Amino acid sequence: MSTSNGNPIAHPQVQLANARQYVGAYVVSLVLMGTALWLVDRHLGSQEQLLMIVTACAAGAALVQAYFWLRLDFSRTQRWITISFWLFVPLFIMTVGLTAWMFSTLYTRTMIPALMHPAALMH
Amino acid sequence: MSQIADPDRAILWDPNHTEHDMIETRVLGFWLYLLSDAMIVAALFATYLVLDHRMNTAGGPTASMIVHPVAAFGVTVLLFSGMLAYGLAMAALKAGDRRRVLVWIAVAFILGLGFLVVEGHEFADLVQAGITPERSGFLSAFFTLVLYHGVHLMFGLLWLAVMAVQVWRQGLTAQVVYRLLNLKMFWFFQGFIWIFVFSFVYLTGTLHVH
Repeated sequence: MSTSNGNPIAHPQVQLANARQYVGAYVVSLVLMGTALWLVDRHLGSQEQLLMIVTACAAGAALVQAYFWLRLDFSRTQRWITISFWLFVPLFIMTVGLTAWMFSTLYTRTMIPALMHPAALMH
Repeated sequence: MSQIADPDRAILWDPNHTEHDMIETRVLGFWLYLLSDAMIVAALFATYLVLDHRMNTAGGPTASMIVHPVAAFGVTVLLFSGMLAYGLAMAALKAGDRRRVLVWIAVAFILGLGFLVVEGHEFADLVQAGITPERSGFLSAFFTLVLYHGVHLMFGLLWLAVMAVQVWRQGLTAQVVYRLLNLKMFWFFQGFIWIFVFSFVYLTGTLHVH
């Protein structure tokens, strides 16, 4: 963080831009999202398989955009932006994952039986 | 004896000090703000995943009844194209070409606006059909999550317009450049978040997981 402010265009943050990489990431992201859509729309697989595929496609697209659009790499310019992002990721996953897990457990143990067995509601 | 400094004469900092790079520090600061904003998205995703269950529909529609993945892919193309357009504006900035920066910002604006118009139409249809946020816990979570992203896009469009005016009037000065870089992160981050909204709201919503 000691770059001169003389010419803002010469700043490393500006010089990170790369049109080819942007176009490449765009194409790959759309192909991954399109593939997931095609498989889900045609129900080509079980629920669990499709869920896995959608997750894999989302992870792939996220990585591609993170690297080629947000430029999250360990270069001197981007190092701290990348480190802060990777420190953030576990917090994000824990917030979403632990909440979903806790409530799925709650549903299973306390509320679901009647819904899972609608006949039980008839009595 | 201690001397009392004259506040009118004391030099408390060196205005020409170059140790800290203004662009770098402001970009990093804004990035940290974006990550904190993303924690709100995490909370909304967590809420959505919890409430995306028959239990929370109160007899109303489930996800599979209200999401249209093919239409959602259409807005995904619009959104990613808007991201690409802004990326090309950054490539033009790298070349110092102010006119091309403006052209690509305008293209990004139009594509982002297209995304919001189509999304707005989708939600207007839901409301007209009586599918409103207060209908059930699930719908509250669905509307909040998707529209939270939409509101970000709205602010992104406003920011794009402001930056177009600044680039036009002030040129590619250091102040304008750091704002363009911050907008780049903000704009790209909306595409990044949309990957998860599209995948785990629109695509898995049709799978009848629960």
